[in-house]
Amino acid sequence: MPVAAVSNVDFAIPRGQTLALVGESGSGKSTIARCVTRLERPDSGQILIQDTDIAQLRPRDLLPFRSGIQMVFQDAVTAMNSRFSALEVIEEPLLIDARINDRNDARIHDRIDDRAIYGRRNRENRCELAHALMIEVGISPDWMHRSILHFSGGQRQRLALARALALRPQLLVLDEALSGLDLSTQAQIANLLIDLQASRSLTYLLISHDLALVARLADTIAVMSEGKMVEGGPTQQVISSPNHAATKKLLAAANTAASNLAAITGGVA
Amino acid sequence: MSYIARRLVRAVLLLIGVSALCFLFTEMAPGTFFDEMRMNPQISPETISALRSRYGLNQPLLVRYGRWVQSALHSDLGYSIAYNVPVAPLLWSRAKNTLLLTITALLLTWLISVPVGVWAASQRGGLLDRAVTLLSSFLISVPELVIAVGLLAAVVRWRILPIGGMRSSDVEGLSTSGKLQDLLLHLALPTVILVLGETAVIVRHVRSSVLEVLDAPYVQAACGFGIKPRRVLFRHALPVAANPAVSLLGFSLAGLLSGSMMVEVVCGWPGLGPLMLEATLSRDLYLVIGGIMFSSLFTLGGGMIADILLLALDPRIRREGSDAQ
Repeated sequence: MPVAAVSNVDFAIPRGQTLALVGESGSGKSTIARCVTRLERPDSGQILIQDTDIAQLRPRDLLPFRSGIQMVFQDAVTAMNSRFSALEVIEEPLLIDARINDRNDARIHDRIDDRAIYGRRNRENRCELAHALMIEVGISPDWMHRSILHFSGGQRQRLALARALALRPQLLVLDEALSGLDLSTQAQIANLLIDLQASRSLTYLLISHDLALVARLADTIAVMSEGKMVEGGPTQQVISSPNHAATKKLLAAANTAASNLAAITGGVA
Repeated sequence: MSYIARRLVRAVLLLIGVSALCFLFTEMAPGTFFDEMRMNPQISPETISALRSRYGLNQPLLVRYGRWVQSALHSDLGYSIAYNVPVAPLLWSRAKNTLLLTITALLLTWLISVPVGVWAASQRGGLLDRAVTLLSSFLISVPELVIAVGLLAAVVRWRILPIGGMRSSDVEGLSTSGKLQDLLLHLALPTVILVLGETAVIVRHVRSSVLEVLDAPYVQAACGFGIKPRRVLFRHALPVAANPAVSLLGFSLAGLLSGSMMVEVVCGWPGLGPLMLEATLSRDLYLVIGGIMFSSLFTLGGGMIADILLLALDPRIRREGSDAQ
């Protein structure tokens, strides 16, 4: 019997805002991420990007939308080919078929520069773009030709962001993108995300189990439990007056972590 | 560079070890080349002991080993008692035929396995994938000898190809292209047998390593950009899948040599196989040891070629090497 990983999920993210999808592991958050980015095809339902439903589009028809939705993965180490240099990682999305733009639709057209950067040719332009992106995410462009093996976890996640931004997406799906990092790196990347959102008016779908982080970044929260959306609303409201048991559990976990931290820092002081 | 130098030193040490063990084991094995002569009442014990001392067989083990090493350094590898010639040239004349067979088989194996394995992986669960999996399981589970004898029987029954040896008896009268064609026809059967057995194994390895890469997040990410599946396959999957495939290449070089012995004997291919079988049965001591040394050399060479290829193909290995220094 087929098992439905996720059912009855309904949410909308206004442009330029952040929706956090929280829940325990196995609650179906990543499945939603994979459906929104159309790495998986949902069995039923709608995924509306502006007014187009991409849920059931065939791969070829999907292509013009792909660049508008980009994903950042949890594990930056496996999310990049370890034989690539930083430049190769960042420029890879640009190697998509240049004809997509000819085939066009106005949506893509108004987002890209007039300069041709797509496709195999135009290497110089791609290099220039990679240079700018590296500066934007806070990595020295001098390291462009270094193998990604030389980058630390936080730096790699910055590279992953640069890569995702290369196609000028409107929506970034951050699938536990900060979970693998230590606290201070996490805070830095969170700041970077906030800056990027402001400068590029990005929309984020933030997937996380960490409510403390979510409270900082998200405008609205949707709580998942066992494949269903059990609660949703503005961040402050959900955190201050949780209704569902799953939300309370996540809050309790966040509070325990915070009080543990307080106890440790208190002990040191 | 120093990596290759280290490998060379290790290879030489290994060869010394193999040769020492060969001497020890042949010493422990019962019987000598002259046992049959001893049964013959027409040959006097004096003649036999004269022969023994002529070949140095009455000397203690260490002295014999020392002499053999000396001869190996002069690239003779000792002296064949049965053929009455130095071992190395004798082996080399046969090894050329073995190499012709195995290298042809190896090339064909890889030309078939890599595309088929990648293709099967790219449509996982599809008809082709299942067919490849089924066929390769069948070929792996059936012993190579059965495949060899079965094919041989089929070829004999329908007279498709010439059987035995590597030349027809009337080959002298043919033109150059005629000779080549004759050689290829003789080569066909043993090659097909070898290719079938090896391809079954390598296709599976290529398939599974490509599948592993296709599941990796960075391939998913690439799909998310909208990069074409074909590019994903060539840019990501193939280079990564090449690693296990290249390591396997070394093994399959060595494997083809040992595997080819059986095929050579069954098909009557005049390579090292029949020579070694004969030499072992008649206890032609130095010829056996020489044969083992040749095959160790092939094995080491195969591994070495694979390592150098890996070094050239995978930037990560080069880096580890330089970090270690």
